[in-house]
Amino acid sequence: MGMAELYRAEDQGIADEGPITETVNEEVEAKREWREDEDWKKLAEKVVKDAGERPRREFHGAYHVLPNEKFVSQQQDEEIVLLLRSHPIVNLGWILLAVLMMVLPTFFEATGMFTGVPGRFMFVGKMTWYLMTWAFAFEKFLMWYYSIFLVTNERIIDIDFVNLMNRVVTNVNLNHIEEPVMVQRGFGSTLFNYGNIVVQTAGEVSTLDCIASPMPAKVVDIINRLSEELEKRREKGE
Amino acid sequence: MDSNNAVNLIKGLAAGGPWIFVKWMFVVGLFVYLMFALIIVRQAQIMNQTIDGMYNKTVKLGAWLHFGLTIFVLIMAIVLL
Repeated sequence: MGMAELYRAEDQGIADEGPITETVNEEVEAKREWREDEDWKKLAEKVVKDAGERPRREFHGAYHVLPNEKFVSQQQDEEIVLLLRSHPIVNLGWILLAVLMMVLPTFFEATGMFTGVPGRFMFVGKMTWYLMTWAFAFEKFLMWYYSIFLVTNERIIDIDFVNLMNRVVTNVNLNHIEEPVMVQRGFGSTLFNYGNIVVQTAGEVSTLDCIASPMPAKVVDIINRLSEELEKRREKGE
Repeated sequence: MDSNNAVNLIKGLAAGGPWIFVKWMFVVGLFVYLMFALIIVRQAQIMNQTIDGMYNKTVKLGAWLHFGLTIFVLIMAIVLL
């Protein structure tokens, strides 16, 4: 084959067998991966369905079944089955405090204790106070919103923001967990149906905690089912 | 700064009355607070990488807005007081 013919042949995609075989292999690989993905999705959906659940988002995102969201360190064949945060009712304390902080300057002004303070100082002082109130509420919201407990088809991930500077990410494979336990104590947790979930692990990290999770019984049920399914698959050698 | 300059500065501040001290306390305090606001912005960015959630943009906006307002209040403290 001359050079000109070779170029023409390449244009038509028949230059030699190497690239074609490679393309075919890539397609087969892609289809295989796709099937595996579908398998995982089906497994997750089956477990959720068996537990009497459906994809849904409740409690302002504190209880999210099959959320279709991505998280840091997510693997390719991994899907989030449950995304949990603390029940929104636990935020009531700091919300009330923030509201109190908002009205406090007006209250003190009404008492007349700042009559000797020049107006411009009062203005800047109030602005600073409101800024600090904002920061306080914002930080509390961030702590709640980003402290999450994820149950995927492979593992459990606990992301805790201790404060603005400290983040602790713990994850444990579903194969390495012991029986998960739920603890529901007190008036509030019974009324609003939230509780702590404690997962004992066989690994270095002894326990994973999800504090004040909504619908804890359902969560424990789903974790158990996922763990069983994983065990079954391992026994089958899949 | 030699001792004469320091004395002059203190005399100047004293001439301004007690409110000049309050002003500079505000300015220094707000400057420190500005650093804190910057940390919040950075932390919101890091937190956003944790999970791709529906409030990520709102959180980012909230952090930047807080930072912007802190700069505004700092400027107000310098200019107004």
